[in-house]
Amino acid sequence: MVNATEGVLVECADAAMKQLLLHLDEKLPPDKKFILHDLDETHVFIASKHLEFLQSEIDCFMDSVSFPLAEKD
Amino acid sequence: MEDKEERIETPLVAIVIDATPAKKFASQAIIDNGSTMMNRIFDALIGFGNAHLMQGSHNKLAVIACNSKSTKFLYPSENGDSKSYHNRPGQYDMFAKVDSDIRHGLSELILKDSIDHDSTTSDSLLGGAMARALCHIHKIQRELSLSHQLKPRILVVSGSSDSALQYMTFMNVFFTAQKENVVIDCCMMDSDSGLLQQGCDITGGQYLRIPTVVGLLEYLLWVFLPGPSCRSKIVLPPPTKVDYRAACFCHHKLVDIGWVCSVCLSIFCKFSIICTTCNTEFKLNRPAIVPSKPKKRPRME
Amino acid sequence: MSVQQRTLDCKDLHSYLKTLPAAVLDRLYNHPATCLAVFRELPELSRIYIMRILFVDQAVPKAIMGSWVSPNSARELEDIVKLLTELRVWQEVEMQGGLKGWLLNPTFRRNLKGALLGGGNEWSMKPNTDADPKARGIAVLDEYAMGRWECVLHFMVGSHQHEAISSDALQILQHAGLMKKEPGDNQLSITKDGFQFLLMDTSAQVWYFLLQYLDTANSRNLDLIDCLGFLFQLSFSTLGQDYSTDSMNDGLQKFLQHLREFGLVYQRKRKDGRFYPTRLALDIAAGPKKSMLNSLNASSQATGYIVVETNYRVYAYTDSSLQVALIALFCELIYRFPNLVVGIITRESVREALKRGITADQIVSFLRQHAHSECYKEPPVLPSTIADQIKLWAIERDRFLYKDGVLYNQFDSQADFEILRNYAQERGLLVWHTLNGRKMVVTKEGHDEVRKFWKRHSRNGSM
Repeated sequence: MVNATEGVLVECADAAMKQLLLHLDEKLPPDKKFILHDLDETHVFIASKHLEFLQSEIDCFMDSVSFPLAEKD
Repeated sequence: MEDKEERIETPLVAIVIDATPAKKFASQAIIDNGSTMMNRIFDALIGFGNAHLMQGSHNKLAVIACNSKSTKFLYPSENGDSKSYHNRPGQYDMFAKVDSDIRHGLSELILKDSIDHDSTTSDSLLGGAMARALCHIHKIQRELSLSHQLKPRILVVSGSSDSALQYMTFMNVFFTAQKENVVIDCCMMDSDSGLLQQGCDITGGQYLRIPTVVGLLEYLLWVFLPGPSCRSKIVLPPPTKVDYRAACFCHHKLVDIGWVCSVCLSIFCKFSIICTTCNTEFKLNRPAIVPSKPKKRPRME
Repeated sequence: MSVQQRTLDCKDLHSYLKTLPAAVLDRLYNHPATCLAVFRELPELSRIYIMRILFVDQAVPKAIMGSWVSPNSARELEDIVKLLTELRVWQEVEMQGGLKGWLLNPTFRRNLKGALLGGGNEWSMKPNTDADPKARGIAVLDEYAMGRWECVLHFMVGSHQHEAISSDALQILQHAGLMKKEPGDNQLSITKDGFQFLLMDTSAQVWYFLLQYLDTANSRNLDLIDCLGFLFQLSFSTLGQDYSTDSMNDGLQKFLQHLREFGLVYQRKRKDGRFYPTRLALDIAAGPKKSMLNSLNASSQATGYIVVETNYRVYAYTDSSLQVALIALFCELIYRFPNLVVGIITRESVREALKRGITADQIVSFLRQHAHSECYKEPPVLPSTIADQIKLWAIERDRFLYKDGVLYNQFDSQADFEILRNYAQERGLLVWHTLNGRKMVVTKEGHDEVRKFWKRHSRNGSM
């Protein structure tokens, strides 16, 4: 039987970024989990209601791995 | 990461018109629909100038004419008053101005030449006119803002054959043009010019001798309208074989083999004991190897 | 929910013309100025082609035209043929003996030839015959044009030191989606598109604004073709020359008043009978990249004011609140002096701008465009580390590409999967698929259609 699920297809620039998503998903409690299907190397399918949360999570992560380039004073 | 700062290309064509063959063409009979040969040539030159301006809003044009006595800027005209032109219906203002400037300037020059009787056989000042064109290009280049990049070239339209008298002027112009990245194109009517062939070859321009003057506009539009960067894309007439003979400094004759001063590289067709250019004395009455001492060598290919 | 980032689509002249119906295009070519403007925007090779057949009054066989280019440019020729056909500059015709040939649009040919040599349709804009007793110099016109245009920009950034703009301009700003009214709020506020608009160079802004204006031309009882024709004539006029309004009809007069408001033309009094085009108007047909304003910028020191150093510091020599506001869009301001503002480009400030919908390219080209004239003396104008870093910060946000869709999986057979996949693919609804595990994603909009097809198919299949 064919199954249809609504959501958002996420295409990752590289495989490492997808692993990051899987990792984020793993740490979350069951009700917060956003990944619906792990499709292939660079694609996952996620629930659209969690998209904003996911984006802010990724932003946080990116902030934590970047460092200020310019000194202010 | 590729990241180029774009500069706006500004093509400039300086047309150098040799007006000395005017007499020859003026006497040619009326062709087809009542227009004279001279009219045909005028229309072709003006049409080409405007066609170049039409290609883009940044395109620039300069037109310089010369005869055996003087050189003259036709466009932009030397006297600033430009109100005298009348607009033909539908024609773009700027083109009308080019039209009237060239037409007036050129006919003035030719008329003055024809009433002047002592101008018998002297050569045209083509070299001087080209030098003025280079000066004009240089001036524009300096005035242009830094976000623009000038793509200058000179188009010589001539009908007179080589004038070895001006050999040095020509060569100076060619090498200056090469240094300044100015391409010299040449469209010859009726006769060939070995010097101009060299000039086109040195600067990477196109040399073309057109078989009929009637088709001048067609040749101009197809061969000389596209800028050098676009020429590789279209099929052009095959390059002519360049006549690389040099003119001697003593009699201004083209020579295949001559005498070259070992100090200043001046070329002579006859041997003399002192170089007229740099005053070097050739001490050749000393050993027996007299004939070979002033180097005898063909001008390089 | 839209998950795609949208950049402001500023069409160039050709892509705009391609959106017009064929009949309108044909009528447009009735004017030499339009033909000239269209011609100038064409790629070089196609211009050469047109020049070569301009004086040929009949169709030219394809085989002959093909032989004019060298073999390795044959591809380019194909593109040109497509472009010229789309613009209706030429069309394919059948010649004697079944040969296929191309024929220049006769109206286009006549008017382009007319512009070049005279003899086409008349230009409706004529220089005034008698001299203006109070003639205006070019400097005055420049000042006027920039003043008027900045007034619109000032309004957008909401600085209050300037006069309000007319309701027409307001309407266009709203129509263009550059500003919008928030529900429950009386004030207009700037949109994402608006921010991008602010960072475009002036001629691109004018062009975008005019396109939006022309969009609403019909609702203003203006004739689109008249207006476009007039605009193109304006762009070919002479700076500093005054033109007569006598031969203009009521519609055009109205249009002229709007142009006057935005600074494209200068008119001392409405009933003056004459007007002066400004640089803004002369730039219209030049297209976004090649404006004359740029050459103006470099010559007058007033406009180039930004110096960027490799330590991410931005020095802006300006006292204009508009220019400060623009820099503040992507910079963190740290010091402010009467004639100088110092800011610093940081990851946060750039990300803030990116979130507003401004692209990295827009920031970089803005910095370049307004670079201080001193910067031009030693290229690169903008340090490449800065340009690269801004772009890297932007790419960082694009590590994930989000697409709304519906996932289909658990197909019973490979055949079923292929049927459904092919169906979606043919209709352009397929977003992604894999044979491995038989999964496919279709667009949200296409879901209904695909589902209906599937129901039909499976019912038939079961019978």
